Order: sequence, then structure tokens, then C-alpha cells
Amino acid sequence: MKDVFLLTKVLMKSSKAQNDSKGSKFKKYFLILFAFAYLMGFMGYTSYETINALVTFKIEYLFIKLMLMGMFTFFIMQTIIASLNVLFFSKDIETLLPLPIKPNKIVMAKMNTLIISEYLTGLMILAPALVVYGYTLKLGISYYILAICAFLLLPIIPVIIMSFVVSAIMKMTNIIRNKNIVQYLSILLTLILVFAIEMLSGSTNENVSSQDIANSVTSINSVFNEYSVLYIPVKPIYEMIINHNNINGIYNLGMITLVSSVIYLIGSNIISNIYLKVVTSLNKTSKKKKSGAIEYKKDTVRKTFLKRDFKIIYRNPNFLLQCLIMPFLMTSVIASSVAMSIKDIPLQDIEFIKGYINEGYPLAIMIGIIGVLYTFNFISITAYSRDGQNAKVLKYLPVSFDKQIKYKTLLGFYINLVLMIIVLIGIKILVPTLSIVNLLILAFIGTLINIFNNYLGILLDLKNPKLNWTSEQAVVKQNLNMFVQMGLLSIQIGAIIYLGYKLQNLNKIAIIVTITYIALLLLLKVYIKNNAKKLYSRID
Amino acid sequence: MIEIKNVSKAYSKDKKAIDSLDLKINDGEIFGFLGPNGAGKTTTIKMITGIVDIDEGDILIDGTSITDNPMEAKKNFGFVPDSPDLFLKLKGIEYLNFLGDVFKLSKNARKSKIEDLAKRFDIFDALNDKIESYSHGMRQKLIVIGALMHEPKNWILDEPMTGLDPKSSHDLKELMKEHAKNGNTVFFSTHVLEVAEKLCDRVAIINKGKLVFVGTLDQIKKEFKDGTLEELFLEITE
Repeated sequence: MKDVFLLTKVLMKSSKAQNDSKGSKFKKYFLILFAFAYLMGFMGYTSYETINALVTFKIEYLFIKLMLMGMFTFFIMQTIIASLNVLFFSKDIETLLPLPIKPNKIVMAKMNTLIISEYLTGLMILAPALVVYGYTLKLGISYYILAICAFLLLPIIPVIIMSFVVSAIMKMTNIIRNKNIVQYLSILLTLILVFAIEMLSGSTNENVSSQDIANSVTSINSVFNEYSVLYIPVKPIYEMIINHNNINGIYNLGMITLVSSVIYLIGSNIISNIYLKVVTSLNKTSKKKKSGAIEYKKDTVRKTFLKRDFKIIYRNPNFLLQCLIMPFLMTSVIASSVAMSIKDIPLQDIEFIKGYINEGYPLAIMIGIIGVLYTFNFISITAYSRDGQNAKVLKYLPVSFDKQIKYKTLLGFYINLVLMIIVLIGIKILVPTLSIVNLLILAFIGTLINIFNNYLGILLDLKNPKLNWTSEQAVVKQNLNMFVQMGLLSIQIGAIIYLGYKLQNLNKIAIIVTITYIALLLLLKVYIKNNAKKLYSRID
Repeated sequence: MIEIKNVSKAYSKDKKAIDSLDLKINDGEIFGFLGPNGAGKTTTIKMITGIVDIDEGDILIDGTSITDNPMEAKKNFGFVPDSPDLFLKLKGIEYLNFLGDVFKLSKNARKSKIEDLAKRFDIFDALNDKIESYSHGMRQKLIVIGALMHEPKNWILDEPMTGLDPKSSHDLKELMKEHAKNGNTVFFSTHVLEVAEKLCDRVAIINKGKLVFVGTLDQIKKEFKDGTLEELFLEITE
């Protein structure tokens, strides 16, 4: 076990995107703290509201049940892609395979890294929910002890089971031995799951009263109950927490600990039996195509940078999912939620919205919606990190650094532009009374926010680039900069909506926002122009 | 011509990676840059190419300072880095077109140069494949083509023979000779002393960031009583 522990430690250290920046540790820890606080705060608040609503109907126990089932589902989904990357496609495999380490030890260590990464996710989502539950219901120390046990035990079974499923599929199917094909398939699977969940929960959006929250929770619970066979491992964990103050809690703790340990040991051994065979027969490169005519294309430097960035993203399944598909996926999720909730709005309210739509406040909210979609665009925030060690090449090309920065903002800008156009067209279709002039003002402000935030994203990435990564997933998933981007955009969105609420006049809002953004953009561009060389010094 | 003028670089306060390095690589010269691992070869090359800042001193490429006028200086050299694993998701031709655009090569110029070099290095048929499908040697050849296609006067190559098969290695050496013969400069680092011995007009040996020897092979023989470059290298880097 000592070997497994040591190997886990090594894999954990090597799997995380190394902090390439020369910034202080304080800054790094501040960023981590900020990111965690942001998500935990959101989760804590949502949990508090939900639990209070459920307490009114004495069904608060459903919160714990749904949290555990939801997290279990989330761990399963996350493990599909994560296990593929960690087990089969991480860069450390070629270093590990020649070493005299037994496959089961490699598999156990890799399982451990997967479980630990799930703990990090759980820390942001499950931990605040469990703490808030205990706090709201004024539960004793026994609850918190068993909640910690639940937190630690919950990811083990989904990680092992899904890793086994993924390994078995890899073993049985020859067509998915290619890294790219496997990753594209996993993206497709994730998309299907996201849409399935969205369809499932679509009818529960926009509910605000306690009765509605209770109804929503009850209906989600009934959906989960229909598939209860899939959640067998969750039951003892749920029973353990609910019975924290009696012997049943201890009994369930013992049972789930035993079951998890057995599944961990047996599962790891079964996976290790097929692991070596699969991993040594993988084809990590794309199939060579029969060469056609070679195209000697001439483009401007601006266009060639844009095309290069685009090709690197769409040919890399992880980047494709996280940088290109994600913003459109979120747009479609939000759009479908809005479309589904519209049918529940009474006719007189729709008429009221139609009449009120050209006022400052609703227009400010629309800018906010556009801004929210920008937060899911991680193209600029990972512009240099995606290049990894290739970013060094940019330093010896005869293109000035500030121009390169400008070119690097283009792809993120164009994607945001498309998102904005989709949203504005959608709004215009839903609310035809929105005037063309106001639509154009929205587009103008949306474009300003777009340009500014792409420059900001590039600046954040250059200040703290992650160039040494072992898997592409780490570039976005382990990138704390994206939380900073989300935080900064949230502040901007909040400020604009507040301005809309206070001023109620779009012209005034537009003037203030335009002047502010142009001033900020100029400041940012001057800063980049004067410090481009210093910013690039972090790439070496 | 590459002039390294009293250049120093420190990554930490108490230790200089490069200490007062002074070198001049003349036109028409093949110059070998030697040194043990960690001696400062790659740092020097990174400073010449503008990848790493210079703390003290200056480096001129054909009279243009890499510090004061980096864009002009960068147009004057072609660089082959030590790792050929660049932009693996791009196709070979896409990588070359990208460089062609950056160096503003006309369509005809890039066509003739790419065809000439790719056929010479025997990777022409693979140009439409993604670089990730190339072997190490093929990637190295592609990087070499990318560095040479804009016909720079100065070639800077970091361990260029690594991974090349004997024919390609021979071809590259011939290209280097031809380039120098036309009055241009070739500056390259290597661990293979035999290559340096056979190819270079002059060599420099660097150890712990300091220049410990610079001269021609004849000078080596004179100073070292007809000894080989290997014997000199081992003695002065101990």
C-alpha cells in the first residue's frame, strides 16, 4: 500500500497543471480561495433557501437524498471523461509502463487520483450543502462526523464502477482505441446526458415559492425513485446521515465502508487485469489520410493566428468541449429553460413584459444575460495555456507581442459575438416589441463587454499561464483563472443591472457603460502595450 | 553575423546562468556551441532568439539588437528548437503555411522552398498529415524546414541532429555547409563532438555559464598538443 500511496502522490503532483507563473504563493492561494468561496457561497445560499422551503413541509430529508443522488450522478458523468484521460491517455503512461510497477498498483494509484479529484469537486458542491443542512437544522456533532464520512465515501463506488465500464468498453471495442475518437464519443455522451438532465429538470425552472421548491424537489425525487436501482450505493450513505443520532447510522457507516473497500479492491484488480492489454494497444495518433494536393495558402498574420488557434481547438476533443461547445451548450440550456418557463407565464404578464421591455431595467438585465453567457467562454482565458510548451514559439516569431495578444483575443471575441447574436435574435423573436434601436444599443454594449473581457482573459492567462500540463483537461478544469474571469464578469453584470435598476433609462445606462468600458479598454490596451514583453516573460 | 556582447543572465540572485559571455560568429562561418548539460547552452540560444530576456549586455543579429529592435532581429534568423514536438494538432503544411504567413512569404516563394526542402528531407508526402502522426525524426525535419523556408541569413539550431536518420543528418550538414559557403552564419549547439569537429569552422565551449574556450580546430590542436576535441572538452569542463 505504501507504493500505491507514493505513486498516487507522484501522479497527483504531475497531473495538476503546474503553476508556471512567477507570482507569489499568496496570490496563488488567494485565487484558490476566491474560486472556492465563489462556488461554495453560491451552493451554500441555494442549499439554505431550499432546505428552509422543505422544512415548511417537513420533507427536509429529501434535500440530503437528492444531494447525494445528484452528486453520485455527477461523479459518474465526470468519471467517464476523467477515467479515459487519467487511465488511458495521460502523458505519464509512457513513463510508468517501463517501470517495474505492478499494473494493479498503477490502477489503484490512478483510481486514487480520480477519487481525490472528485473530493475537490465535492468540496465545492456537496460540502457546503451538508454543512448548511446541519447548521439550518441545528444538528449535533454526530451529524457532522457522519457527514464527513459520507463525503469521503460517496465518490469511491461511482469512480470504480465507471472506470471499470470504461476499461471494459476499451477492451472489447477496437474502434475506440484511438484517443481522438474516444474523446469525441465521450463528448457526445456528455452532451446527451446534459440535455437529458435539462429535459428532466426543465419544467422546474423559475420556481420561487416554498411550495414550488417543495414541488420541484418532490418531482425530482420521484424521477430518481424511478431509477432507484441505479442508486443502490447511495441508500446506505443516506441512511447513515439521516440516522446520525442512532445506531442505524453507525451500522450503515460500517456497511458502506465495507462495501466501498471491497469494490475498491476487487474493482481495481479487475481493471488492472485488462489495463495493460488496453493501454499497450492504444493508438494515440490520428489515422494518416491519403495525401491530397498540398495547399500553399497565403493569409494575413491576423488571419493565420486566428486559424491556427481555431484548428488547435477543434482538433482537440477536450478543448473542443470546454472552449467551443460549452458556451453554445450553456446558451442552449439557458434558452430552453427560458422557452419552457414562458409557457407558465400568464398572458397578462406577457403583455406587461412586452410593454416594459424597452425600459432601462429589463434592457440592463438582457445585457446581464449576454454577460452570463460570456462567462462560459474560456477561449481567451486559456489562449496561451492551451499552447502549452508551444507558446515558446510565439516568442521568437517576428510579430510584436502586443499584436499577438490582439490576434489571440479574436477567436474568443468571434464566439462571444455569435452567442450575442443568437441571444438577441432569440429575445427579438420572444419579445417582438423590443425596438431595433434598443436592440442595436444592446449589441453595441454587448460588443464592448466582449472586447474588454477577451483582453482581460488574455491578460489573466498571461499573468498566470499553465504551460506544463499532462492532459488537455487540466488546461481548463484545473485553471483557477476561469473563476477569476467568472468573478470579474459577475461584478460587471451586477454593476450594469444595478445601474439599470437605479437609472431605469437605457440612454443614460448606455452612455455610462460605453464611457466606462472604452476607458477601461484603453487603459488595458495601454497596459498591455507597455508591458507585453514583461507579460511574455512568464512564457519560458 | 551574430554578436553576443558581454551577456549575463541570472535566474536566481546568487547564481548566474550565463556570466559575461562574449562571442562573435562571423558571416560564412559554421559555429559549434558545446558544453555539458546545464552549462548554459540553451539559455544562451534562448537569449539570442528573444525567448529569454538578457539581464546585462546585448545580442546583435546582423547588427540589429534583439533587445532594442526584436521584430527586425527576429526576421534575420531561422531557429530550430531542441524539442520538435510543436503544434502537433496541425498538419505539416499548415504549420509551414503559418510560418510562411508570419514571415510574409509569397505563395510562390513558399511553394518552391517547401517543395525543395520537403523533397530533400523526404517528408513531402507527409505534409498533409497531422504532425502528431509524424515520427520524432520527421517532426525534426519539419521544424528544420520551417526554420529555413524564409531563407534567413542566420541559422540558429539547438541540437539539430537529434532524431535525424543518417541521410537527413547528412543532408542537413550539407545544407549548413552550403549556407555558410554563401556568406551566411550557422550557429548550433550539439553534444556530438564528432559532428562539431568535422563540421565547424570554430567552436566555443561553455561551462557553468562561462566561456571556457573559443577557437578553431587548429587552435585546439596547438593548445592541446594534437589532442582531440573530446579530450579538450573533458579536461576543461571537469
